Amino acid sequence: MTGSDVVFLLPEIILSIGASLLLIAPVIGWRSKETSAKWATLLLLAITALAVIICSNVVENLPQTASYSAMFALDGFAIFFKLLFIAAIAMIVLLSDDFLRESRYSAWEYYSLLGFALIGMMFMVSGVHLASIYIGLELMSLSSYILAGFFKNEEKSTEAAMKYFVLGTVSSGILLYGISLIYGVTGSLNLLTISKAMSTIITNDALMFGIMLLGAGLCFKIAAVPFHVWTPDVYVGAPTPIAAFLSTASKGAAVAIFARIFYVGLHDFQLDWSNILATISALSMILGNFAALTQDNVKRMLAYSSIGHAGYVLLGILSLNTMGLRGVLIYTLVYVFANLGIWATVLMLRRHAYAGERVDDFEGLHKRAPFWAFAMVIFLLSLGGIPPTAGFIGKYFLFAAAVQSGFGWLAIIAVLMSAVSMFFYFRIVVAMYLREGPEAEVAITPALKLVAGVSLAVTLIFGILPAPLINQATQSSNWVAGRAAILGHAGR
Amino acid sequence: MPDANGDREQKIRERQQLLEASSIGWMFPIAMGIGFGWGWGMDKLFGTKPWLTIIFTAFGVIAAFINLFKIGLRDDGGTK
Repeated sequence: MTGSDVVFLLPEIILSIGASLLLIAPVIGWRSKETSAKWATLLLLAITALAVIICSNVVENLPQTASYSAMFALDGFAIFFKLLFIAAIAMIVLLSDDFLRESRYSAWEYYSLLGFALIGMMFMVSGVHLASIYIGLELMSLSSYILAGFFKNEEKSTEAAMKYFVLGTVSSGILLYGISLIYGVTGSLNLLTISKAMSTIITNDALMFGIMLLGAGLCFKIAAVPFHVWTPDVYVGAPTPIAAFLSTASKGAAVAIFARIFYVGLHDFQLDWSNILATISALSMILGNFAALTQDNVKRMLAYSSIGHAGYVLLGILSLNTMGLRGVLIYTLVYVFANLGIWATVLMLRRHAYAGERVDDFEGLHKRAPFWAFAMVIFLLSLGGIPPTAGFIGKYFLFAAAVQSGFGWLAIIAVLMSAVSMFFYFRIVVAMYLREGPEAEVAITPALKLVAGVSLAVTLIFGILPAPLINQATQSSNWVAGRAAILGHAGR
Repeated sequence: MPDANGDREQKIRERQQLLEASSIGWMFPIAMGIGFGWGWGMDKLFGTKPWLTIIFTAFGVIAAFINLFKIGLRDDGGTK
């Protein structure tokens, strides 16, 4: 490893050292200083974000032949997602603060695990080699399994963690088997080399089988139908801030690698896998949105809604054009912030560990907390894709990309399912504004206010003035598009 | 001896659960293998290579995952 190689990995190295220090902090006598854990984690995240920005500027001036660029890239695509994940984890740290204080579990261990999960996510989005992508994915997944069962004395939390662990490890095994088959046929794990090898292969049963297994593993991670069944149980059982983490940052990381692998690595495979993804996308949108209609538990509703959103984001991946890639970036950002805002509002309604979860809990919220009830409406409108929220911009790019690629029928299904989704989103709005609820106290802490406020600002500002977001997404997606251009398949 | 009977039933139940859990390992490749083999054979028969292989392999993978979910998500009444 040369000095220039270190620059590629510097943010991850800083975060690894910081997360390890968080883990050993209780051992060196800081166990009682639980509030310091939050501030130490936020400081670590700020330093990591700064390192990402500085290193990305330094890397721009380095020769592209640097050895790490074969496995690891610090390109616009990676930087966009890294900064998004750092912001999301910072907000999850804020969401977790009161939750941890009440639960009396070690905050140091919890934040350190979030840090390790973030390292995994940052590694994944920078990976241009299936081995580095897999290592990042596993680091994120292993941390997530522990976090889902972090509240050891809560039966639901342990059960959710166990289910997530068993199902997640099998899907990781399937993904790894797919990777091994692809390696066996193409002789490489580097996405560019795989792509070049694929353009010369007309049909190969082992390769086709490998791609299918890789796709199944990735579909499990983003919770697309028919690999979605774990989602509602895990979201309901996991502690609420961890459910927020799983539905936003963790899912966003899986979407990012899905896009990179299929856009750069598997683009040139002669068999058109777009049709398979189109079927999965349609099923996810239909099943996710219709199943959400009948849910009374908000966490379960959000879980099914997230399955529907996996279907929308697949539109951007299967369309394989620059608009689709931009759509994936924009939609992931918009989805992460709107969802974090909703989770913050759910936590405001918490009266004990697992309350604030039912639609009934939202009754009369406009009287108890008028501003946050309004914020909730904006978040729900954004998830539904209604202007002038940022969700509309994200959906516009995804649907337009699908139409451009000849998947007009899928765009029609997507529009119809967006209309269906408004029914269950509006159940919460009706409960908040048209029903009288108990005069119960809402726990609006400064941390929750900050998370909901930032989410609201992002959702509204990018909805009304989307140009900066679109420009940034265009710049960030250019690297992947540029790599695709080298291979001669850009802008299909 | 009701206790002895209860213990035996408990042991049998545990053994059954262990067998079911361990079946995840071999049910996966079998389901996918059957899907792949069936599609490959049909492709040979009808000259439709590789479409039926793709379709039936996809069915095999989906069947394997459905079986996994059936075993992995059992007894979740408490979280519904």
